[in-house]
Amino acid sequence: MSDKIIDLRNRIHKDDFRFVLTPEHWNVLYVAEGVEKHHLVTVAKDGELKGYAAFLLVNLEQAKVYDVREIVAEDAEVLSQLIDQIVARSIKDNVDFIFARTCEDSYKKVYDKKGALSFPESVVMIALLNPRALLSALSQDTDGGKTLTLSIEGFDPVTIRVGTKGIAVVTDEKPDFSLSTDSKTFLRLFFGRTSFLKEFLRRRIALSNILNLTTASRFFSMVRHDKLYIPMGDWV
Amino acid sequence: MGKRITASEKNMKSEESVRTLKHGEETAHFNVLNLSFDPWGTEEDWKRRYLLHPDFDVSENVVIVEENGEWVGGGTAWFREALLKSNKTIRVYGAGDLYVHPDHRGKGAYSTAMRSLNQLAQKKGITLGFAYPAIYRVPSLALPKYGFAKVFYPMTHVFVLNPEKFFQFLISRAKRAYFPEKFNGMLFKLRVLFKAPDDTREITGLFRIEKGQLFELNGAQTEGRADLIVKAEVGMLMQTISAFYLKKRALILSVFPALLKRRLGVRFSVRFLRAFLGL
Repeated sequence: MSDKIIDLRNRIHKDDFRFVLTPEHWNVLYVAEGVEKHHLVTVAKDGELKGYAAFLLVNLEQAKVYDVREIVAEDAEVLSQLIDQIVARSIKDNVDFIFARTCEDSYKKVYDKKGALSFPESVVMIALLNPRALLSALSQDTDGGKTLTLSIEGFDPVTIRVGTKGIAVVTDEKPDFSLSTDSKTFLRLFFGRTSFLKEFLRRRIALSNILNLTTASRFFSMVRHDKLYIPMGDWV
Repeated sequence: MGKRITASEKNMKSEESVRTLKHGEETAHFNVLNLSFDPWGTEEDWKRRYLLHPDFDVSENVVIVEENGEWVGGGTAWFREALLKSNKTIRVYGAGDLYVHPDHRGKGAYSTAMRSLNQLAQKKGITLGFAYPAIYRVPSLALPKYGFAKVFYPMTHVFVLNPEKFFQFLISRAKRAYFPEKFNGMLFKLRVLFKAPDDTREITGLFRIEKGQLFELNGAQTEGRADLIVKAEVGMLMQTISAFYLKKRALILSVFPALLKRRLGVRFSVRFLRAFLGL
């Protein structure tokens, strides 16, 4: 079963920044088999898995709570069916309330319709520890373009060629210009939380030559990861 | 065996040292977590988060801060692989269970533990660090000092089946939050409405703030004596609290329409207003 679940998650969230989920991680972080009371509900159509929800029954501040580790659904209708299954089970288990944290704003209407209270309560915070390794993992063969030196406060500069279709971390090339910023601005741009132009106008990004503005902007659009998918089960 | 991290690897004070947990110290670690978080969780929770976690070894992942040989705090790093859109993977870590022994707070053990976790991760070739604090707790304010940026606010959805229990849960969480000391001695009355298709239930609580913390009162107090009376639908209340911690603009955008639609009602004394405005 875990193979089908992992396949479905990878298919639905294929474009998202996400943690690699192995069957071992699934067994410990999501179903917690042999440790706590766990549930797994699924929705299938024509024998094909379309959605699942993994949740644990936990005691929280003297209340019986369903802690939803993850809900993956192909569409709103599947999500609605999964929520109905969770609520039906919660009544049997005499649960006081159900907690679910999600990364997709697009499904908020489904939760509203089902009577959930929705509010932001947690924040995903990220620290940049090795920009060279991060950008090297995005490197690909590139021809032409311009070369920039990226200086992020607190780290050694990284030289990058920005081609028409991708970027490449290079070592022996003379840069055409340099780009400086801080790690917070870099991360917010990398994860699509702000725009290059906004940060440039706020002077959180400095260019050695303003004529290279479009190349700098293209660099950030090429490395950008707009969607971040880290369900509750991965929050350890 | 636990490994000692050398003085040159961290900005430590002369009396502090940092090491990783040794095999055989698992129970002591579980006990100090429960003492520090009051409570942290059950032995089963600990087993799942620590011993059963794939690729986890207490002597590699758990950092201990000592002061003059005494265990004063620590933190844990969980290592994972993450997928980028290029389909290549990078190594990341999740920082968690940062704690300071109640007898040693305010001396910098938290900072030492957090810096040591980042250094441990960098030594292991980690690219990004992750943390997931609640927006109303101190770590969300403290973590930027250690390079963490607020990147994403996931949405929490709650289905309430037992309003009394949920109300008590909210109060227990509020008791752990910090309130500005200018509100010390003030009385607050909270009237929360839980609406269901066939029923509306109101639950009331009365509280006093002392030394920056919330205390629930049991005695009968009149509305007239409270410095702040808030009446709200539970959903509105949760949105308002979140907006308060997110930013002023979010607070204004959520509170004013709610006041106009009477989903939120607020009455306050002159004393409260003066304290709120800092007069």
